[in-house]
Amino acid sequence: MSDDALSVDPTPPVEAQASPPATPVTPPSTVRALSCPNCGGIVNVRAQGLTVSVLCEHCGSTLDATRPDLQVIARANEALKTPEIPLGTRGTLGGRVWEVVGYMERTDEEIGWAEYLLFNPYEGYAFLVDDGRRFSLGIMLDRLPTMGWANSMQLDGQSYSRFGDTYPVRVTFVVGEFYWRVAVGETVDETDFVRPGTMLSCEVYQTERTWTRLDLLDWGVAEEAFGISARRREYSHPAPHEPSPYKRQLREALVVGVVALLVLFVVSGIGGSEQQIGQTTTDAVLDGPEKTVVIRGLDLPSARSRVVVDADAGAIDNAWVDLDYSLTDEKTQDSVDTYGLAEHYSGSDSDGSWTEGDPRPEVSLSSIPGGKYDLVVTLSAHRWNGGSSSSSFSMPTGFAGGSTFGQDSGQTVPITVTIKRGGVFGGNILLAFLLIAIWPLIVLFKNFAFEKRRMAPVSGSGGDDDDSGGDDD
Amino acid sequence: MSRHILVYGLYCLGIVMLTTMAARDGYSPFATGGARGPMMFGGYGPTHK
Repeated sequence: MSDDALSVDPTPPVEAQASPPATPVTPPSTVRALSCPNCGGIVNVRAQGLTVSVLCEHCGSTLDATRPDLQVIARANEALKTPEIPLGTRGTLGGRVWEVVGYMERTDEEIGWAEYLLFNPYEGYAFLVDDGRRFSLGIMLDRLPTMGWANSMQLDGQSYSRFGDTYPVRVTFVVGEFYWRVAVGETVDETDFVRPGTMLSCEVYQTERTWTRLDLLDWGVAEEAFGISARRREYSHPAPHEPSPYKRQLREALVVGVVALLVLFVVSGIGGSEQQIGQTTTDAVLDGPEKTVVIRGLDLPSARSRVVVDADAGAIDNAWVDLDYSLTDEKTQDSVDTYGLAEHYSGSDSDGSWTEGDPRPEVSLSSIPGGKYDLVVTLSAHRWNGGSSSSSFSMPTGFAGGSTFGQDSGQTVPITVTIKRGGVFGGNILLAFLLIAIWPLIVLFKNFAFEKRRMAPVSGSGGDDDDSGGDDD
Repeated sequence: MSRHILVYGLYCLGIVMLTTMAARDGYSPFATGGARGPMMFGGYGPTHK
């Protein structure tokens, strides 16, 4: 429909009187101007024939609109407030022109909100509900929702979850015209059912039950339509039917994060596997002198490489082997020193048998410059006999001699040292994974927190967790 | 596309690039190599009680 349908101009244009043949057809005014019997102020009745009571804008008296003389039903007993959207303001919502004809404030004794009664001659009435943050457009249902499972309701194939218990709602202020005899103090029992973006509100007043569907309007839509200043976006106390602003962020972050992780794993695959470039096996004498072996001609062709030194002293038990490595550049004699410890202990106590230690230590060297290298390995093996008498120190098979520690000397253990180059550090991949995952996890947490606040019981105590970080952009 | 996702996309690109460069150079802050520290001397034996 157009604005013409709601024209309130009571007088024809001047031009029309000046040139009679071209007089346009002026639609009859739908507004009836009457005088308030209490204060004498002009009271406009915009929905004639439908309006039952009118609240005088000037003195707040409730007038009977069904009587030609606007008889006073109740005189005002408090100072009038001015609605943020003045009565008579027109705005377009959803392609339809609505005019504000009434305004009331209601409370559930915890929080309060405002409701504007909108009127369109073709569409009837609608409510513009203002909870102080956002606006919802409410249309009274002409059909009943059906019961769903677990206290939910079904309407148009969509399920609505029950939000809290039935609670009393009381009118605290009212002005304008209404299609029922509304008055301050009127109390109804309300039950809400919600889904993101929409609320079904059931109001029971005496023997009458009405259902209203409230659609949450986007930020700024109602403000722009009715010419009031836009509200600041904040999500500390969301409405029960408010969609999470973090859902879209989460979806997008997951898509980007998964793509990044796939690329990351491809990169780690391209990094290649480890390549063995040298190996030696030697025997170390337990509690004997240090032994030095040199692995020569280790080639690192890349500008910089990862180098891994593995030692395998898997045959030891209740003993340890110190391994000092020195990777020396044959040309420059620059060396990188590192250290490994192969150890293994076992025994038994009142809790049973136990083992401890790693006999196959791996040492990784980061970013070694390219060139020819020698690896000098200095190793010394030692028994451990400092345990309690309950521990057993029997020599495992594989030891040369196969006798018991502490009884014989000159026992040897075989140790294999392997040098590898290339490969990717797992720590790097893990770190990158965590760094990529951190943002989706933060958004996920914010989404959970929002949903928790959204479905939390209504409280007017005010919040201390003001989170205004989210937005819909 | 939102500003958030643009920033996050650039952030992910940076992470992947840094990881790629680290893999190329065989670099890691988590490399276990290094000289024997003073605490390593004498710290032998099981910790089992």
